[in-house]
Amino acid sequence: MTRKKRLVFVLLWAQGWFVLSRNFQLQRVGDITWLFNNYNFGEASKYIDELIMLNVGGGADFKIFLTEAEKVGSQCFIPFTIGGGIRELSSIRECFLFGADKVVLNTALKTLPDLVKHAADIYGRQALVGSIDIGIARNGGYYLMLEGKKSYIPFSELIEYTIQASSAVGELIVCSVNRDGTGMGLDWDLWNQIVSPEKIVCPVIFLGGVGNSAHISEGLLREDIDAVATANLFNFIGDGLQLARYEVAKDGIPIPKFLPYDAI
Amino acid sequence: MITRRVVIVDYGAANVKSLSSALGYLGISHLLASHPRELDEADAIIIPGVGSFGNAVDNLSRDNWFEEIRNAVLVRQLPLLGICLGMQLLVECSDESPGKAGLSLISGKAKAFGAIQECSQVKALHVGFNSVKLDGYKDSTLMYGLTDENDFYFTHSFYLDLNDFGGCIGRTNHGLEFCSLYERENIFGVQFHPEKSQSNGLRLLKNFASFL
Repeated sequence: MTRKKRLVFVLLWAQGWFVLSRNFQLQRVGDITWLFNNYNFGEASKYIDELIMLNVGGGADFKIFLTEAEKVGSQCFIPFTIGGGIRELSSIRECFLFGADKVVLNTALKTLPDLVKHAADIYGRQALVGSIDIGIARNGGYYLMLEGKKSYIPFSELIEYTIQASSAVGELIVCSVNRDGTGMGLDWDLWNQIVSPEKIVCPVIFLGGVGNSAHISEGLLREDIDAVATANLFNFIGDGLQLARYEVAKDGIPIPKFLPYDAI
Repeated sequence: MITRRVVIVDYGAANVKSLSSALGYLGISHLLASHPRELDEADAIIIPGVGSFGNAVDNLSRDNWFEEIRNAVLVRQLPLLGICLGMQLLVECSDESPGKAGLSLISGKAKAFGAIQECSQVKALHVGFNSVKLDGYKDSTLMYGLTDENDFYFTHSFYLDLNDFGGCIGRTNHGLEFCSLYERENIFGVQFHPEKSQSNGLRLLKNFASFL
């Protein structure tokens, strides 16, 4: 199979602001004008393979989120995935109407399996991206983040859940709450404990902790990882994504090769 | 000055917005046509597509799209580009929807990856970036300025099995090698989504519009 690995960027949006997250605590950074004019995201987006934009403000302001997502998506010529707080089929439909290629289901993946099945029947599994946010507490207990809150889950049930989820959607995002926003690198402890590559039947995107291109390469070098994602706006500011992409390609990782934009 | 334009057949398939954004970025004049009579304005036609063959055929059968598209392509000789499901609609039929007929502008049929022996659940879908390798012997209009092996975004579970080997100038591997790029005279087809393939796709769309 000669499918390429992917470098995915995640934009976190809450109530009109793009935010930084650290261990799921949010900090406002700038609005959409800031993102395109100051951060120059239009330029940065030329160096990624996929864009995910999530409404992490508690599912509120859905219509505003969709309007802003549509603006962001129209500036980027890559697969565009959106989600956050989705609980109904009509919301999923609206995501597609506003320019999404795929929709993310997180809490709904766990609590509304019938919705997931119904959406898969209508739109196809490949249009749905499951998202699982996993944390490990100090006492060693595992928890999911559901509706913005910690939900403790026994270890064996967690393993079972990831396996079952992988057959309900087209791909899974596994996110480490402990490493989120720390820039310390991907959470290999979590990965090795939780993800059973032989039993997970869909491609997996690993998210949480990426600080530099070496972390990205480390992730993409693994056979069981299809894509590495980062939501860290500031670690890759300016030409950071362009440089990261260059380094990852230099490490011999098969990411897509694109013409320079000035050669179009 | 007459504005020459691309007409996108908007028959209810998703993603016309992305395609429209891409053409807009390139400064290519275009219009989204919801009725076949709008093909009168066309200097080139794009058929996009996401979803099932059968649904697309049903949508196109309303309002006489089939006859108008065939007339525009075969009589007026307009350049036509089919994208993803739009490419599959150019052949005669698809295993996805027995009994439904495509435009029959290319001889062949669409088959399921999932029907291949020992096909895993993952391999039944082809989703992600993959390479399109050009046949070394022929020049490609769509790939002008690109290299012999280029990455584009695919998302499909059916592929084309063509009788016209000469027209297939680009192939991609997903368990088997299938035709991912077709060019013959004024008929073009790409199995991937150029509007989701960064600069590679934009270059390809620009090359198609060079007819204008």
